[in-house]
Amino acid sequence: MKEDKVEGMLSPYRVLDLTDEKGLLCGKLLGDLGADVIKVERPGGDPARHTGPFYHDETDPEKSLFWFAYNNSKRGITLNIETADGQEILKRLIKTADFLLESFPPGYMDSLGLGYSALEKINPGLIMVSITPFGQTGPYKDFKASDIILWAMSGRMFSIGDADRPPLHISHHAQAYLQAGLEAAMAATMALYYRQMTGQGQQIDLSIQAAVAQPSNSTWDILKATPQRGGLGRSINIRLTRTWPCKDGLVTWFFMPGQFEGRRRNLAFVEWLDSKGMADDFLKEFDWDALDYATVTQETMDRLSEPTAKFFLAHTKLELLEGAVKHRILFYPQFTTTDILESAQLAARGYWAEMEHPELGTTIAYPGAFAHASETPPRISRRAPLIGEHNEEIYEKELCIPREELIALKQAGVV
Amino acid sequence: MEKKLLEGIRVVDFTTVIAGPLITKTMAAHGAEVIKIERRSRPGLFRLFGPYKDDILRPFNPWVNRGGSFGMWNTGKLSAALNLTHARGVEIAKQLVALADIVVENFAGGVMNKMGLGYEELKKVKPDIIMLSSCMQGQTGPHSNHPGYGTQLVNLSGFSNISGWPDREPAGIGPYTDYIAPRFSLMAIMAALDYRRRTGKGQYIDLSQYESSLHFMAPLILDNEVNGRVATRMGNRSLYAAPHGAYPCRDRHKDGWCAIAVYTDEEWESFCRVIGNPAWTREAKFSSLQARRQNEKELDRLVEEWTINLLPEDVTRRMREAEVPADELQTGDELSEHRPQVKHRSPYAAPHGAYRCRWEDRWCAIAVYTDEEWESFCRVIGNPAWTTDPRFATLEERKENEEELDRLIAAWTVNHSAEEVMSMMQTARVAAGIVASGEDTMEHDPQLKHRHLFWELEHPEIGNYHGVAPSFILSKCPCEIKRAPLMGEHNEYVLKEILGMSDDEVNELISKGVVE
Repeated sequence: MKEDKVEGMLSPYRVLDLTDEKGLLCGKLLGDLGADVIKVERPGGDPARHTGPFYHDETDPEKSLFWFAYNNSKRGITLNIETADGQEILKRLIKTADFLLESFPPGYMDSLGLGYSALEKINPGLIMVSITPFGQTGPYKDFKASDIILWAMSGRMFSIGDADRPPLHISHHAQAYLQAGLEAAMAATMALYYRQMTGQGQQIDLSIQAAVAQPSNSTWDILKATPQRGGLGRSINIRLTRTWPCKDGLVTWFFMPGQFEGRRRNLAFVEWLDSKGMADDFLKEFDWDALDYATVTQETMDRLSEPTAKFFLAHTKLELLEGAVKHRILFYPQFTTTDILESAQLAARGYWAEMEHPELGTTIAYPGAFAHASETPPRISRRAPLIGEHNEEIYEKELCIPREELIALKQAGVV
Repeated sequence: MEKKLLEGIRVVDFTTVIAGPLITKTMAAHGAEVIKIERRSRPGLFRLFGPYKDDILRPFNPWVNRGGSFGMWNTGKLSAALNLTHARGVEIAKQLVALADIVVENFAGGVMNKMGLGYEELKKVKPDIIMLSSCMQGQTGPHSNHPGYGTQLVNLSGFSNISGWPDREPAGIGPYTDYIAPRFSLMAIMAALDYRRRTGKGQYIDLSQYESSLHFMAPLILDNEVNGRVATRMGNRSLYAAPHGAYPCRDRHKDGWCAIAVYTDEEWESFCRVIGNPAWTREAKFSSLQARRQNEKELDRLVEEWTINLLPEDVTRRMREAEVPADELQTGDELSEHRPQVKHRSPYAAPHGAYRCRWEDRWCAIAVYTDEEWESFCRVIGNPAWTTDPRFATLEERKENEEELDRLIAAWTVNHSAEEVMSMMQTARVAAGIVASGEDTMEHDPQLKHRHLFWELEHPEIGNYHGVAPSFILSKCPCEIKRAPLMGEHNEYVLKEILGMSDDEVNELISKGVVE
């Protein structure tokens, strides 16, 4: 794979990425910002390569779409860091690196002689990013975790879902790990700033639980109250529809109470219905200032809902989206991944990044630059590496390990 | 006293609500001087947003300094109340930018330009300024000027569609993108700061909250693009079965649903036999799992046509007789006592979900991936006879009999407190954690206490409240969380000390309503 050299914000820096699924996004983002990111996998490949979905549903460590998504903008080597030879090679690489990312259990790197205090001696400027479920120290540091456990313990699950069913987290791949990986990349760039000012690297001890707990809401803090799942935050006596069917899917909408944002938004909405001849007199003449969900009657809500429901049913998601943009209404339909892929706005901004996968004989369009930048825009520099794809490039050409030695290392299971 | 990480960095902050303020909050926690530009005569939404001290329930409360959400998202910042609809207000903002390193804003696309505070203007007064704009869908393109909040953007970015029970509408997940985008923003700002240090060049960063958040959907987007699969709320859905889901049955009391899961071709054949081998089951588009997955929407509709005429218990009985995994779903009130969670599934783990525990609305999440973990799990719950049932012997079988498994587990968990379940499971090396409430995280969690995630703060109008520290601890750069500012609290500091104005000048600005 060829990589075209473009100056990025982090071009001078090298990242060694030893993370598993808990931290993969971190290295990918530093790579998007221009850093030279080397994914260091165990021989045979990282376990995250076995995470679905897979290309054409073929379960193959070289075909995991999950792997593809979070390892592009990286090169890849294999190395067994549990062997003495492997540790030596890693230390040689660390001398050339600015960042080391890892997500092993607390104490594991120390047990290999690769803890921060050891690595700091090899490379005082090294920024070591350690991602663990609960942090490097503390009473829960050795607790076992998974995505759902971290959502639960961060306080984020409690309020999601319906009152009559268990609390929920977001389905599919682990969102908690993506939050951690993103937060880690942010912390890494902050530590870089400090290093450039002082010459000193440091260790970043990131807790995934604390990352997911960032949105701690202030209801408990201020009111010492715990809102119920599925409510509006306080009890109301009416049925309030918030998700409505439209012609080809679902939209979310409710009339917002309040004199400022609420009134403006509701009036714009009624105007929109009226422009389609679908607002009745009740809706047009309604006094939005008086809307209060604590006192409003069901009959009133039903009369507001009726034309609203008809209006949504008569339009598609896309029509409703375009209308919301045109009328400047705070409202979006519920997009599926198909709608996202077809989004006109994303296309207009050139969002999708086409990456060639010659070994699959195909090109895949990836979610592209996370931001536009006037000088050094972030970009995906290459597709995710195959297992050990850059062993030769890095071990032979860069570290100048002779081929015979490399063969011996391979036989010993080091690379 | 050691130098703080961002000491000496000055940020002019035009942000509001969550996605913007969270960017500068982290900068303030690490020593940047963040000056929030806001207006007393038209305060930002969160200035007016509850919960308020003393629970004043009027939703829009004029007491701009009492909002708990504002207090939490704006710790450590300074506030200058400046009216930007005045030309002189804009001029002062520019003077401040000339003495700053970074400008952050999250108005709707184009608003800063209209106010005369766009990047091109600001570059004139500070050529190496780094400016970041974070709006819903980016500064360019047909939707660039559309205003919105995270609570709506979660719909557009597909998170709503994958959150919730498959037999119900999507669950509200709150403004999830508001917590994703600011991390991307701060990372970009810090990287741009390094680029400026090396090259002397500032730059403009146009961050679309939509585009950045979609990176959290990437595997599912690729799955659609490559395999044609549209991800939905998974609940009991799995990537490895079709038909698979909750199907509506005949209306008995109100809601009747049956969950059906067909993994193997043998099960598919049995399934077809049960429903009477209608002609459509022989069509090529349903002949393999992959084909069924690809035509799942149509398949689901056809399955529904059959289930809708039967009672849920009949569907379940007939399917089970033919050894097709199926179970009646409990809905509404039936679920509230002792019922297992119907679906909260991972394709890689069983049991997996939140289980009801002792006391009202207390739950513990448990995730069992390997056979070793399953054995430990069984030991913890006292090895009851049912755990040796061959239907639960392997992960595959546990997945197949998950409904029943969950019911049996819930019958055990409900007799223990969530904390007991967590502690017993963790001692046996099984992943488990209480479903924590706000109270649990803030007052009781010893790990978060150990990390000092919540800082006790004293605020002149709110009284005691908490700020949130970053999730990461930098070994050489401790953070410091200070209370949020009162509206206009730092007018004097900004105008006199930074901009060098005299008392007379400041008084004149106040009398003209430029400074509020």
